[in-house]
Amino acid sequence: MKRLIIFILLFLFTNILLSEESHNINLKEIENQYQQLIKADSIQRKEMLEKMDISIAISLLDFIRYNKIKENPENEILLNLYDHLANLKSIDLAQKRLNKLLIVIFLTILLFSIYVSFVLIKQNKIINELKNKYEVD
Amino acid sequence: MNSKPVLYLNILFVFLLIPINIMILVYPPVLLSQGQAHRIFYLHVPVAWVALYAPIIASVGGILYIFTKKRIFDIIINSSMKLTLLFSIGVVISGPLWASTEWGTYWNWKDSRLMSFFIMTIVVTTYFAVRNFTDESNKKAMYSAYMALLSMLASVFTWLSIRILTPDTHPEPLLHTLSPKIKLTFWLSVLVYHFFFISLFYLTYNHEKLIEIYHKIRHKEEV
Repeated sequence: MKRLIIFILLFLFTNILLSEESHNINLKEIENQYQQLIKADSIQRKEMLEKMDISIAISLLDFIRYNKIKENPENEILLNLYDHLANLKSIDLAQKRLNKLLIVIFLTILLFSIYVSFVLIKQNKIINELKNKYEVD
Repeated sequence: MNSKPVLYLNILFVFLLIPINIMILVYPPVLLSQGQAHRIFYLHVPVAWVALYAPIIASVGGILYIFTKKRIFDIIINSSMKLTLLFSIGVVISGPLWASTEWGTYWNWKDSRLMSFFIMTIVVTTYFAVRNFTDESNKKAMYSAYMALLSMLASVFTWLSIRILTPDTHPEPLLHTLSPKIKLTFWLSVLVYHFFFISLFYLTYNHEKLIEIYHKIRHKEEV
């Protein structure tokens, strides 16, 4: 029993240690990413942002916010306001883009469906006409 | 071309459109510069490629018709040209809709790619007008063969304009810079739309053949 308790405690302790370590690594990774982004030129920055994993992007955002508020607590108001306005703008743009995507998909399906239906209906009509003719004959 | 396995294979090709369109909507990550609208690209580009290849098939049929005068090549020309027009309309619809959010305008008359593709669509449309200049089937086929060659030239010109000329607003080819998920979705989409073209070609070719038989029977009856 004693051994089992020691084993469980050891297991929990190692787990806590490992998770702490991974948290540090992540933080370091994010700090590195931030430094790389700051140093990169605009083209490189755009490429880096496009390839960035969404979880890293969210962590990076929190990291920047945390640092900026630490530098000056008044930044929080400004960042919140900016966040809200940027969200409104991006939601509006995303909605417009989504609408266009759905219209394109709908029109493409409609275009091909009309063509296939037209060909099949016409084909059917000719076949029926020929059938009737030979049956009558 | 009427055996059952071929028919089933073609039906399968059509049904492949369902998973690929779901993949287009959910699998590739959103591009920062274009948002959800970039998913139009997985539809627009493969459809444009097919619209550029189809006149080449028609022109091969045209050359073979000019030299052999066999009716089968006229059927191939007409089937290919019908599909060229269909896919060109697909491109002309999807392109401006994408452009409206990214460029702020539906059309740019100064863009070399847009204009060269537009010229090709006009040439393809003209093919159908020229084909109906006469009712005589041999003349009709000969006009079609030459118009197919002209369409092929327009298609090559469009292809070159994409590769050589600097577009005014059209995006540069950027596939090599994108993430593996985007590349995979794009190439699968290209493959599926080419399969879809084969299915439509199969359908149109059989339809044209049936019309040819029907006209022959009616002609015999009239004689």
